[in-house]
Amino acid sequence: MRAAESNLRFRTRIQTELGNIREKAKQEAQAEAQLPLREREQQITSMVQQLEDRDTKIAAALKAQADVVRKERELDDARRGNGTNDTE
Amino acid sequence: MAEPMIVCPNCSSSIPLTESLAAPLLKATRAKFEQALAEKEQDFAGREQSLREQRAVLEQERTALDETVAAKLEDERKRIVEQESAKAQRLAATELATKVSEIADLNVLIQDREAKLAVAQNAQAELVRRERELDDARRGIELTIQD
Repeated sequence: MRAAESNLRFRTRIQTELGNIREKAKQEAQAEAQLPLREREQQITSMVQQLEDRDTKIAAALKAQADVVRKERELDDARRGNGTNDTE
Repeated sequence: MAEPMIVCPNCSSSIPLTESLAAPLLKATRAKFEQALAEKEQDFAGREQSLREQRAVLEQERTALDETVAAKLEDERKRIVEQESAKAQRLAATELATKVSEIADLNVLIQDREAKLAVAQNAQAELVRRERELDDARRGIELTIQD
């Protein structure tokens, strides 16, 4: 009976130890596997930022173009009003 | 105190048990007890030695068992680490593939935007030049109107 109890205690201790080992190994493995994912996420964030930056610059350039076209129309109107046509 | 008396089994007369009469009996009894005590002590010493030896054997067995258990646990730990690592890599692989694909898509989008931006900036430069010309023309018209 005593030997059986001792054996059971020993088995329980080993199972507990193995459980702790597995839990620690799991956490470490997950942390290691997440590293390349974190790197890719940072890369994606940076690329989205680049994309937004390009979009902002394109929008600014298009707006500047629209402003010049508007100015050109105004000048054409002014020319027509003044009867001159010497800008070409 | 009166001396103890013994009765003769033959004549039934009472005889006082004097010290000189009891001395050989006491000596024999003492020797018998001392002999028994010595044997007991020897027996205890032998059993004690046997217990010490048994304890040493048990201690050796326990040490050997501890070493065996530690070695098996270390083997098991290595196996578990490999198992968990493979599992984590497998689980992360799908997510990683998705992100790699997303990065490739973003690269295409960025290249497209770079091309569009270059076109827009060239057009803008051309229009700035044109704007200067228009400003000059506007000033010319204003001067004409004033005249």
